[in-house]
Amino acid sequence: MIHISRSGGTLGVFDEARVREGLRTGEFIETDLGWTEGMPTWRPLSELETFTAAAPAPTPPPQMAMVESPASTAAGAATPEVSSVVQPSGLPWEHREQLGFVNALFATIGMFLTRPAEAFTVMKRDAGLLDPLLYALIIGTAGGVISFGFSLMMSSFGMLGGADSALGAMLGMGLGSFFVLFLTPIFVVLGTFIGAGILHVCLMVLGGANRSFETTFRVVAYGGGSANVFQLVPVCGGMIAGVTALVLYCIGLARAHETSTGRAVGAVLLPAVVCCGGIILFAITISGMAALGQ
Amino acid sequence: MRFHWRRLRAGELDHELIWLLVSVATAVLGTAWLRFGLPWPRCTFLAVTGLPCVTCGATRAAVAFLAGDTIGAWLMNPLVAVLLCVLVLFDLYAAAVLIARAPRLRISLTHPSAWRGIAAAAVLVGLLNWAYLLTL
Repeated sequence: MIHISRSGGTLGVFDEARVREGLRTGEFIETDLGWTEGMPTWRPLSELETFTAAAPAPTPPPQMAMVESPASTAAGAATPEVSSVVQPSGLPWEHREQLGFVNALFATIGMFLTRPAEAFTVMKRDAGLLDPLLYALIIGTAGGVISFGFSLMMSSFGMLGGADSALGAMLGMGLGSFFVLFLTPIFVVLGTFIGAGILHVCLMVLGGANRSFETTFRVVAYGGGSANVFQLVPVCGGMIAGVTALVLYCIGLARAHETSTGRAVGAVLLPAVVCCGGIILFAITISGMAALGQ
Repeated sequence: MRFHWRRLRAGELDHELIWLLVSVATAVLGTAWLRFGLPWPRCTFLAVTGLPCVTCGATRAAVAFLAGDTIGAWLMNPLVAVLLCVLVLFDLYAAAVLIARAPRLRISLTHPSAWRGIAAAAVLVGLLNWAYLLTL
């Protein structure tokens, strides 16, 4: 087992395969420090040529830190103390320059859908809006367009038209294609901002907003973006994506804002309580109607 | 609660720019959506219980508001009408500080319990609005 540390804090203990996978996906980076039993000191992962097998009786790793404290040296300690602050390593998507665009995209999607708690733990809290917005935009647009394609195949997009609206009917069956294709990215961007704004206000009302709007936005963009992968599922993909997004928001808000799960769930459900789901129900309804047809 | 004006710090989110763009784009798209006669979601609460929810009438209020009928908007949903007025004021403020590159207004809470008071006030206002809608 390998103890991994970054920025003076420990990230945990992982087996060799997990560390290799983490290095590949960007969960771990080469400058992270590793230690296994038998090693005299912590060393960067890039310097560990082979990962040793698990020791029969694990013992605590030596203490380490990025900055040596006078107290520890005065006491003759072999290694300095560990800081309690752990900086998240960032998602694979945020290391896409090293990993490659496609690898980083799929690694991030896989991480959110299979290990969401871990994904939100390693997600940087305050690292800007552009990375998560781009992620949500790519998956949301792809999901929306493909979902629209399914709807067309099932001749169900007539939902946009109406017996009492000739223009609506024309939009639904003809111009609607352009409407969807060109406006989907705009809807994704606006939906992400508005959804994050609503969730952040709800979290503030419930006293769980321990971090800035930026953190909530990143949760919504990464969580919602990852859930939109399910738009690729015919017929019921929109509903699955909607429910998955709600679950990811709950996990993400609790982890990223370091608040209780109850407050996170409350913040996610509050819009539903206040206005019948508002935008969330709207998104699910539209997706469901598009998939199921009239 | 303390109000103060200050310049944006390096790397700080420009909320004025973000929310001005989001609100204007939403208004434009929403107007286009309604103009084209595209469907708007029905209130599930109203459909199930026969009673309006807290935000019932919001779409009609927004349409009336955009048409300049503020009193009509107020009658349809007072809370939404007030929020739309606040949104317009915010947009005007945001446009002004962005054009003038002026310091930004920031609000800080001087007491940790202030949020509880704000949250309680928000719940009370929501309930009063709902009570009004139930009488319609």
